[in-house]
Amino acid sequence: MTTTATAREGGRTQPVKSKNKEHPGSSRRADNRQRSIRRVLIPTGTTLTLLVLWEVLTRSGVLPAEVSQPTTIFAWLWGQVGEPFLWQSIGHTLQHAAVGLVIGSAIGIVLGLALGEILILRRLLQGTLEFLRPVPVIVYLPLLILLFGAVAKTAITLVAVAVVWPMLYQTMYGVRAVDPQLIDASRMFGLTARQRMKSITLPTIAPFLATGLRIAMSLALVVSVAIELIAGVPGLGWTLTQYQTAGNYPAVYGVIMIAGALSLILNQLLVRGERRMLHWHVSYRGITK
Amino acid sequence: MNTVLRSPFLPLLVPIAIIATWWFASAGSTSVFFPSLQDILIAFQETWLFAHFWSDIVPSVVRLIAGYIIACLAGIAVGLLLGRVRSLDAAFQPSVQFARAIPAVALIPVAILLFGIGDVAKIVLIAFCCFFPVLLNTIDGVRNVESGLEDVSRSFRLTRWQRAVSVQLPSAMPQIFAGMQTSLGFAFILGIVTEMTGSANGIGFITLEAQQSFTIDTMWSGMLLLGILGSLLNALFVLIEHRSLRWHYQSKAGH
Repeated sequence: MTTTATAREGGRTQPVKSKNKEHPGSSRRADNRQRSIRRVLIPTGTTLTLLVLWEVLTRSGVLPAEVSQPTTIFAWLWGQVGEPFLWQSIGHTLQHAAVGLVIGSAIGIVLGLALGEILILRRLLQGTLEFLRPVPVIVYLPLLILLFGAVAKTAITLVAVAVVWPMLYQTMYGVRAVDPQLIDASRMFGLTARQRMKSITLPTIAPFLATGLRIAMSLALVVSVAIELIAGVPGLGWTLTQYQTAGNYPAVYGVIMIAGALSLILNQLLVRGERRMLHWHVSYRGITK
Repeated sequence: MNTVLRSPFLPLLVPIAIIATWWFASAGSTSVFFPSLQDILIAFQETWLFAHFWSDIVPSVVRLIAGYIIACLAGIAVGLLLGRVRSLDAAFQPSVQFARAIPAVALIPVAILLFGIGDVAKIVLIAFCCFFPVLLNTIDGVRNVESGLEDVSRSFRLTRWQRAVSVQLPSAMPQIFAGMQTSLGFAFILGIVTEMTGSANGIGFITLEAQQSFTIDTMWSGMLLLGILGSLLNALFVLIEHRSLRWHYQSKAGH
């Protein structure tokens, strides 16, 4: 928990540091000390206090016995490091999320490009899309269990369907955010449609896609865990219900912690990748604004 | 060409075509999995109007709205606090980030353990997962109040409380509404999932049970109802948002 928190803060301190160079030495040191108190000590201290409070409340019996102590949960997690079963569950869930994410993103981006570029298509389909968008994929689950059964295909299909929406809309917003003057200029220079796509549309929609991808990733994880949980498809969700029916409470909390950590780590990876790939974009905006 | 494009009937074309195709292609269907639309509509009328209306539709909607309202109120209140008191925000940042990252559906077993399979567990879960989008958007919104507005409210010597309620909250409202819309989607999903995993009633319960007992017409009618309900809720939300934020949209249009 704390490592991801510091990683998050670590990213943030970068621009602050460069600004600090303007300050003379002594006040900078004082500034830095205050900043490190706020950035490291207060969050870590509070988190530890909360954990201790949780431990004390469960040990003293204020919280019901179904709530496990943090130490028991961490001990259980530690004991699972060498066991293949939990790793396999994580692998299944990641596989459902990743494959669904790739398929759904591809479909979403293609549809988004088409709808963004072609007005008549947008007018024709917008109403239908607006109707279908708020329908959660869980609604389609009974049909898919019926057709495919409780297998990976069911989870992957539903993840893909869920992911199409944010990618489609982000792509469409991105395409419509392309500066029309740039399009005019590209026409004047005689760029082909393909060149225009590569050097104008794609760079403009890239940040929109990055945002869409981040939304889609957490969605993919939630949907795969949900499908595993309801339908009994192998993965973290199913493992969770097994531990629950076996009455293994520390394991239930342990799996939940893993799911949370997984989501944090994946999000962090995407944020880093986004920053690395789109640094030119941010700097570009920094100059013009 | 342009008049065709602007015609208000154009967006209706595709849905009508889809429904018509569905109706005629499925007419007289003998497939077990894909009954005819006519059969689905008959099942819809028999199941939901109004045999299961009070016993299942109403509990589903009530739980959803109860959890949602709790989450919105708590999210705005806590968000205001964390947004304006920086050290508090720093203190709870790791816990909030972690709690938010947990896929809410993974908490269903714990909620059942602690609160049973009754209404309480479902409302708590819905409230928990709807809390975070509202919270984060409120924090962001009250923090990024236009500096001119802040200065004016200070020079008028408004108290902290007055500034919070009559300056910061209203100016954060567009963003808070965005969070509330995300939350509404979450509430709907969680509502259905909790009914599918441990429940005695609700639309999700009836629909999944219909699948398991191979009453496929009823399953389709349940899916249809959930789809319509999801879209209706979203439309209702957009309507309320537009009414409450009219001042915001007007000022944006004026610029």
